[in-house]
Amino acid sequence: MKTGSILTALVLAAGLCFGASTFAQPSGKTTAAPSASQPADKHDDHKGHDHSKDEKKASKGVKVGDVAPAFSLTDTEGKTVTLESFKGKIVVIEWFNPECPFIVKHHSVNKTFNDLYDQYNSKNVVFLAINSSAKGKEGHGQKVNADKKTEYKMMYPILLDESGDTGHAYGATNTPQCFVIGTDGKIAYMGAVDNNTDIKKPGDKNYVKMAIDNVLAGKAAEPATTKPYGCGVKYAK
Amino acid sequence: MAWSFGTLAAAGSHSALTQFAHASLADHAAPKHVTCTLICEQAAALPGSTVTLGVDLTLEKKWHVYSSSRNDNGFPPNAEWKLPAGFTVDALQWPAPVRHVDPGDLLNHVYFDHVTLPVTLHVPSSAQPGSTAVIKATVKWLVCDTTCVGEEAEVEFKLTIAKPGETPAKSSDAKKFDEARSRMPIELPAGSKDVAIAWPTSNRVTISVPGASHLEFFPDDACFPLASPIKDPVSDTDKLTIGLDTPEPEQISLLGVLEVRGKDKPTVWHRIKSAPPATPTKPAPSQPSTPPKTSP
Repeated sequence: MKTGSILTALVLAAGLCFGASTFAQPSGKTTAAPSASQPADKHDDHKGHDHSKDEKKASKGVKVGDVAPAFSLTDTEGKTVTLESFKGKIVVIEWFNPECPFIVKHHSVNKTFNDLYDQYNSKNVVFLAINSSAKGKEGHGQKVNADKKTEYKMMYPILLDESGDTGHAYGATNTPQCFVIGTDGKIAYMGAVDNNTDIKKPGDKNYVKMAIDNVLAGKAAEPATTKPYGCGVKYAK
Repeated sequence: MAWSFGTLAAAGSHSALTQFAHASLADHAAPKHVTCTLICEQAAALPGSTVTLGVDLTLEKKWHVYSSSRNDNGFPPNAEWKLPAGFTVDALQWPAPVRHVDPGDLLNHVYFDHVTLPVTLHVPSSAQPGSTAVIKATVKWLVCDTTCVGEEAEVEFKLTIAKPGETPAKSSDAKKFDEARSRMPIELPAGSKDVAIAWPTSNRVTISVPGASHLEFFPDDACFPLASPIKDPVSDTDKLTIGLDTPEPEQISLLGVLEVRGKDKPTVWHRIKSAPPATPTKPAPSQPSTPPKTSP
């Protein structure tokens, strides 16, 4: 694994050195990311096993080191938001469903995401929530998400992905499930918010914070992959 | 502090068992979709013996709770025990679940309708004959249908300690334990011919069960990732071929439960633990003492 860590660090460092933003180009719809040329490193101290490979499907999902799939989605206020517009920034994406008890855990019972936002918003880090609930499924709809954004005092947009195309492109399975994209436009971390699957109590390790700190320091995220926990994403198909 | 009682389950002649939500235990919602009780296979227990308790979950129709097998979402029910001095419990036991695939190819292994999770209780030899031991647990679970709800309950069972020489009778809940055991995965005996496991390649395993009409494999959390977790683990023949997603063959292991259905036989579940045979290490080529001859 050490070799892999070094390779990932080199890939990230190369991206930083060249200052190149390599988000896949948006085409009006989400497109699956091409595979990274370097093998992705895998770390998981969550349960001693990397489950992210399970989520890899023939044409769906990303892994650490892949170029983050581009997207163009509408937020709860009707504004179009593209990943492309955040070139050169660290982007934290949280898969979201306002009704899921684990989202409630991190947005209402605890202020996990608001605390992260407060800590990193001024440090070139962008936060986005994406809701892939399909029409007729739990958590779908502009109003319910707008209302919850207010209730949860969220300072970042909730993007609506009712087709599920963006969710499938990333391989999102859980709400919440987090992806940290480095300034090079590649997936630096994917997985759980923290290390406590309890429905109310937060963990003593916040993996997203650890990933952001590492990326800000020009290092590879450690761990780079953990098993997400939460509710299933409410896809249509 | 007020206690609000939810379901009061039928009590055996020697016991009383309750599910209730405590006002200060607002971690999870009060149970709405699941009735949780603590049951016992026997009506009493002798000092120094073991007895089987069960965390008994009855679910609202269409809702499910999660098993201990690998799941894309959710978490299995867990129990935090509060036991009298000297009593101990082993880990919860998990009957075979069913596969459940949600839109988006989200694969989980779950229980619908009803499940009893047996657990062995060790009664200390110091337990006083004729007394009652109150066994308590806080049970938490995630229950899902089209939505998911976290629930919890505090449950208790009043266990009568039998007098020496008595033979404790089966309780009125004994059939629930029989049902749970009938779905409990069986360890395959060494050299068993019931199930043949072969590794055609280092990352591909074939499981053959002569006479089976349907096979399903439920991977454990510790099983190596499957290349096609939706498609591979189900077969309507007597053979199942599973690809493992890895470039690192030395780490491969297949861990989980195999469900075997036969036309004229009851369904059985086997615990599978297999790894590809070690590749014999090729001896390093010996260094020629003289340079090989080269063609002119």
